[in-house]
Amino acid sequence: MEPTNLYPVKLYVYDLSKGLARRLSPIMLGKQLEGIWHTSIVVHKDEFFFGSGGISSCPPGGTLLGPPDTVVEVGSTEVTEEIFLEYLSSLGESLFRGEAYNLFEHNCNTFSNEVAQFLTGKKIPSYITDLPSEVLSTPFGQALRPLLDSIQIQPPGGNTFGRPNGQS
Amino acid sequence: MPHTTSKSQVPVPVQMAQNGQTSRQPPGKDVSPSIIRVLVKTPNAQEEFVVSDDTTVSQFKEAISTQFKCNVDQLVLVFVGRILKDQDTLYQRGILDGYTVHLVIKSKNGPPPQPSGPHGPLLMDLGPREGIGKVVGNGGRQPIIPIRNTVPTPIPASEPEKAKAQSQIPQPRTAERMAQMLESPVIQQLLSNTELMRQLIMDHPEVQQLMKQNPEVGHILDNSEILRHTLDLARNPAMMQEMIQRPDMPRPPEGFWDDPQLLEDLSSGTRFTGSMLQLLVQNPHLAAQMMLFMGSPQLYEQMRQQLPTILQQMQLSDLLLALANPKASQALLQIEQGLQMLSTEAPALLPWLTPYLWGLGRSGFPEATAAGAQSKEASGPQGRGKTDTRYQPLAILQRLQALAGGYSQQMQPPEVRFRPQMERLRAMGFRNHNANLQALIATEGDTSAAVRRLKRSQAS
Repeated sequence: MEPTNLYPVKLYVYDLSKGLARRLSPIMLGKQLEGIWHTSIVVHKDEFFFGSGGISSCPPGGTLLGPPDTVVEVGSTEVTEEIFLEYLSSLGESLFRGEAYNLFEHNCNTFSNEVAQFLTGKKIPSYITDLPSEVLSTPFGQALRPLLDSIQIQPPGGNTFGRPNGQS
Repeated sequence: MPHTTSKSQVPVPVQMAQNGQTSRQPPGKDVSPSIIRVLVKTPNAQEEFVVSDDTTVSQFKEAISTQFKCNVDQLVLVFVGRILKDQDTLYQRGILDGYTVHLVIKSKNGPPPQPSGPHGPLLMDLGPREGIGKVVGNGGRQPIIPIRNTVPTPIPASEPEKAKAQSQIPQPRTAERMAQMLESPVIQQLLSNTELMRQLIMDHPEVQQLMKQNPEVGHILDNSEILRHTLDLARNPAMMQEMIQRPDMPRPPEGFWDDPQLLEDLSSGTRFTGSMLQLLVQNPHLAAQMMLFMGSPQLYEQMRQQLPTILQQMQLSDLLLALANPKASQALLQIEQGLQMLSTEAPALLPWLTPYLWGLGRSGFPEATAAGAQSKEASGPQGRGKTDTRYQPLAILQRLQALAGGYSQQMQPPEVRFRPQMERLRAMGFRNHNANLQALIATEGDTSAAVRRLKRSQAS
């Protein structure tokens, strides 16, 4: 009879534009966006995020982005660190390899959403996951799509995951 | 416990739960077990299982292990963040039809090592910050540093950049005005000055940095042909539309700008997005540069300084028409005099009035400047550098009237038109009324030129 520990799960939300989006989005997009959101999941005293280099981790707030703009309490999980790391490893080999990164379709927020659901069953707030479609529904977003599609974001300061030989 | 043998004999994939063969659950469950579909999701794959909801977790794991070809003890089932224990049933854990259960298959060798190896400086060239991971021992995977077409600003700016970025951003009001100005045909003229545009863009240090990273950017800027082509497109929205559909930079098509519907479609969006975005689509590198451009105070300043001249030129044609109306020119005169008064009485107000002053011309009329300076001894302290409040009152007005040329001549006899100049000439000592008039007519009201003319004629 092991006691089941509950570990808190948090979502760190960063505005990559540092306020630029809030100011310029009415002009450039024709609609108001509050920010360009980058998110990461913090659990077991570590921050985990997905970028063009794959899944990375660092101490909470340890990327060059600095402290998050918002912290969302996602919930709590029984998943131990050991299991979680296993999980992340397989994710990093399959769904969330670095090459799979795409700013619109498969970005850091996709990852955070996936992990949040695994850990707690809950999704992250929709204003974050809706962002790509918000941008793409504007003429500006549509027109700049080829450029934006090729943008790769990788906040510096994290260590990459990876199992050298795929084992399952 | 219910029989388990029947379950493990079921071939892959598990399709049917034999409903009657599993005995009823522990007391307290009144409802008969129902069949549910459960989605089992791993990072790599997912499978749907159709089971009875009184299946125990351990039974479920058996089925799963068959399906996924691993041992039962490698399986970890997670539902709503809770690890499913063997002795529970799916029903007890609240797993209903259509729900998803997460599966982690533990590797045979135990948990993988914690990642290690910091990323190099990727986007901001500010140096890596070492992330302190736990266990070192990566096993050889290199951090990937792919940078395809990153935009240096505005994406991630760290703290030292933050303040700079904020101070660089023009206020929304101004940005809006700028957007409107960008649409005007005058700005199109500016854009047609490829040399200037190129200079503006190249001067920006971040552009230079971008060019170092992406040599093709440099090529684009160097190739004036491409630049001209691009800037041509900026002036012609219809051609842009065609360009979007054929992204491989073909020859510009003809005849499309006659299509009014097309033009309307293009201009129906926000004014900024109209032609500017077409330009950006055509040239993604230019898009990056434009984003830098908007964030740079130097470029913005240069733009601002150019603009008054251009605006002034643009407004000139309107002014000419307006001046044809004598009442309008009278009104203008009054404004002039009012401004004159202000400059002596309340010079501090002058900067607020510079928008109006721009329309009346600045240093575009050198001769008028000289003439105006004479009559402007009483002007107050000079304004700030860029506003150049050494404005020239009546002389400018005359100049404009002269430019209005044909209109005014039909409306007013030269005597009336040139009255102030005439008086000045007389004050200078030229008493020959007719000669003065002739000179003024010949020089179209330019006093100093008229003076020279008169002197020449006097000498001869």
